[in-house]
Amino acid sequence: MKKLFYAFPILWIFIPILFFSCSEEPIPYELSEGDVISFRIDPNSTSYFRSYQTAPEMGGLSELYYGQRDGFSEIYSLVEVYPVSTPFFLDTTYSSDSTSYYFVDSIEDVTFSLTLVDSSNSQYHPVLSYFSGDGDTTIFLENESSFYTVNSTLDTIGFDSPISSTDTLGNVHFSFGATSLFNNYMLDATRLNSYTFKISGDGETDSLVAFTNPKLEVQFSRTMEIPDSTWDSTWVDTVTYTARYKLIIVNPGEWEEGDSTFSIGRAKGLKSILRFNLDTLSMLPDNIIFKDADLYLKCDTTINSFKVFAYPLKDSISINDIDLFSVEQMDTTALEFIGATSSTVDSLLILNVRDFVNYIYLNQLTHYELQLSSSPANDDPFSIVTFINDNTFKPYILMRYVATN
Amino acid sequence: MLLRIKLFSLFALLSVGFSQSLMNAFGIGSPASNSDAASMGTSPMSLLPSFQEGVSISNPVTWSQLNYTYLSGTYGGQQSEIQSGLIKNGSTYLQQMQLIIPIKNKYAFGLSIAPNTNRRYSVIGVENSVDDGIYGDSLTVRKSVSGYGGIASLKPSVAFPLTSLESMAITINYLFGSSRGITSISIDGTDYIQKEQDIYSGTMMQLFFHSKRLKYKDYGMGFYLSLESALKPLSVNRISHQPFEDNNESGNHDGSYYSDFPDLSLIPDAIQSNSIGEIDPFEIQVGLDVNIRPRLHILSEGSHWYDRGDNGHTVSVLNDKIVSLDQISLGLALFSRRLPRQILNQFHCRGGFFAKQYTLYHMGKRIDAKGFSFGFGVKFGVTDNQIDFGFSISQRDGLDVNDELIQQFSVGISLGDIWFIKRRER
Repeated sequence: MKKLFYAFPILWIFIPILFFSCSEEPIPYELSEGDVISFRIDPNSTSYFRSYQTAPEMGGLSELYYGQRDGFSEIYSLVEVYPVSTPFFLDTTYSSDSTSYYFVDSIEDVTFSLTLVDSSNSQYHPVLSYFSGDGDTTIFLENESSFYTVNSTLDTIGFDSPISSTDTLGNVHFSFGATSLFNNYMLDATRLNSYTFKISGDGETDSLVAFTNPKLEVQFSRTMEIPDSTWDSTWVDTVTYTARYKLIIVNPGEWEEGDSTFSIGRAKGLKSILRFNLDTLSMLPDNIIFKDADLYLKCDTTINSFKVFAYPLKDSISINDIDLFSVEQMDTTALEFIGATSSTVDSLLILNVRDFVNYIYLNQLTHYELQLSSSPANDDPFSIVTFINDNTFKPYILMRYVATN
Repeated sequence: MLLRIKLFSLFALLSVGFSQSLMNAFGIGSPASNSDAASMGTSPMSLLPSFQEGVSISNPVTWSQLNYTYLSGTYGGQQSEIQSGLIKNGSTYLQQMQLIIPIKNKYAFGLSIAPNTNRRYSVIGVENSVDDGIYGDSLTVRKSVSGYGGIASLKPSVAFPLTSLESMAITINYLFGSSRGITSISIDGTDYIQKEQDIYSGTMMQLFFHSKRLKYKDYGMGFYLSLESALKPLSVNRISHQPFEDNNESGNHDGSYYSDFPDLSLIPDAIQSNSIGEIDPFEIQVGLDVNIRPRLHILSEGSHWYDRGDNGHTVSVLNDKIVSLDQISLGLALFSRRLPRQILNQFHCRGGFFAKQYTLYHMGKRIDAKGFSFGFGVKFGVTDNQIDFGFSISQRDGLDVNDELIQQFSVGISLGDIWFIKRRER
């Protein structure tokens, strides 16, 4: 019997043939069509579109503001500056390699400066205040603090009027002398890593002024000494503190929404809840995939560009329960969508809501409410966009899915 | 242990390598044929003796005629051409492994493993421009389907005599295996892909009958009959995975930097569905072997296979399945001498013509194939070891592709040994 199996390896000579002479070309054939299906969902009796007002979220924006704007009674900025390099410059015993020592002889000059975005606003001088209670690092939280939570009664120290200057590019800078303040107040807290300032408009600033690049520059005299040597060297050095946290404080006032509109606006704290009846999704066949799902909104004015965040809500909500601070969005980045205007001709704003629709189809979301808010990427955080919901236009969703079977 | 490794390797090889064809995309696939090289030389049905005089390696009722135990393996290849050779598909594969143990020229036992159906296909649809009235745009859509795998069968057989002139054999055919299917719809250059897996199980029983009672003048005649039916109709457990938008063009649902849609971490479990009785076949085969001159036989056989399953075509990617297959063949075989003195007398020579007709369930369309086959075998060694070669060329008409030319070859090696023979004591 063994002989049979000893002969078995003869078959292995055929195995390499498996890897030769094989070719595979797709065969053209008339396969079934009708695999891409589109439909539209319009509002019905269970749908609603409702705006509500909450605390403005004005942290993390690229530009800061002070001054006045219609509809907002108070606008100023808070900045926490932080040294670009480590703040060793004030340590008089600092040694880099045990063979030499650095000494700070004196603070030569300290300046707080900022740059206007629009140089035509150079007549609107800012007012700078220093929060002397810097030890409290919770003066503001960039992502949470607002007009309603920042304590305006904290101790502050004012600065003298700024000096304006224009560079070769035409940019206007305002500089505040802070040497005496630094020596008298801030130097006591030399080991602190950061300082907090408030930038507001003076009483005559009747326009909204945008600025960037707030920073604190400290010039100091430094000496390097080598032990057991008579050689030493002294020079002037500079350390720069740049903005680590930036927050715009704005009093949003109250918003009166129309009956047939809903709005969103960042500085106004305006968000909207949209609810469509999406029961249709549970009736779709298994194993489909959404190619497109877009929410169509129409603005009451022509807009050039506007970006919108759309989030599903954490919980289902009734239209009667929508109130200030009462709505929470889902805390998951996987369900975050960003929509953007694609047409300015008809003032249509088209949001990609494919994730939202797909998760409802897959039963991973059980409620249909969607929260709209203004994106931080919009150029003007004070702008308000109002959407139409009347007989001339009602929001709707277009969907297109692919059925592979 | 070595034997296990070798057998495992054979199982693995049986599951790969089939040539793709449009026929394989209908239903659960195209029935495999020509499971041994000797039969390929005369007929695609394998019922009539072609391996040796009076013996078909695929018909257990003839195995008692063998003088030795055989371990037999068949390796083959297929190439199909359509559109006058513009599109060619071909591959080679292991067709069959078989152990045959004749017992005292009365009984026989055998065990074989062979492919049963082939689901290897790659079909691409026509590119269409689809106007979308809802979105108000136009999409360029092209669908393609592909798949691989199929059903294998493990067949234990026993043969026994009924009378001095009649004998019978029973084969239990355990069907098992799996296949993968991929449907891809390309829309404006982006692929939407769904993958499915089908897992098969079923049990068939096949009865073989042979009678030597018939005679015409001085011609010896052998009558052969085979009936096959399902003990447990073939069921298909389908696992359908969530379709995805293949944004990173990997062909798989993946992506960490540029993810496919929907995100991999949020996809639901695959949907499972069990289709019981997907295929419930019945087959009758009849054959006549006429010995017109010493060693020269005329072989004529016919078969009718049809599927009684009423589940239609639930697993088919082309929304149809093969519901019946009729075959006839006529062949001639000149077998080697029992004790050859010249090398030419060690050869078996075979040739024949055949015709097949498939009927599709949904379309009612008939697909015809006609062709001829030829082959030869050589005996060697004291235990009648044998190498067989078979070739087949056929043309298939009736599908919505131009005439399809199919060329097949098979090489079989059968190694004999003496079992269950009382040896003289030394």
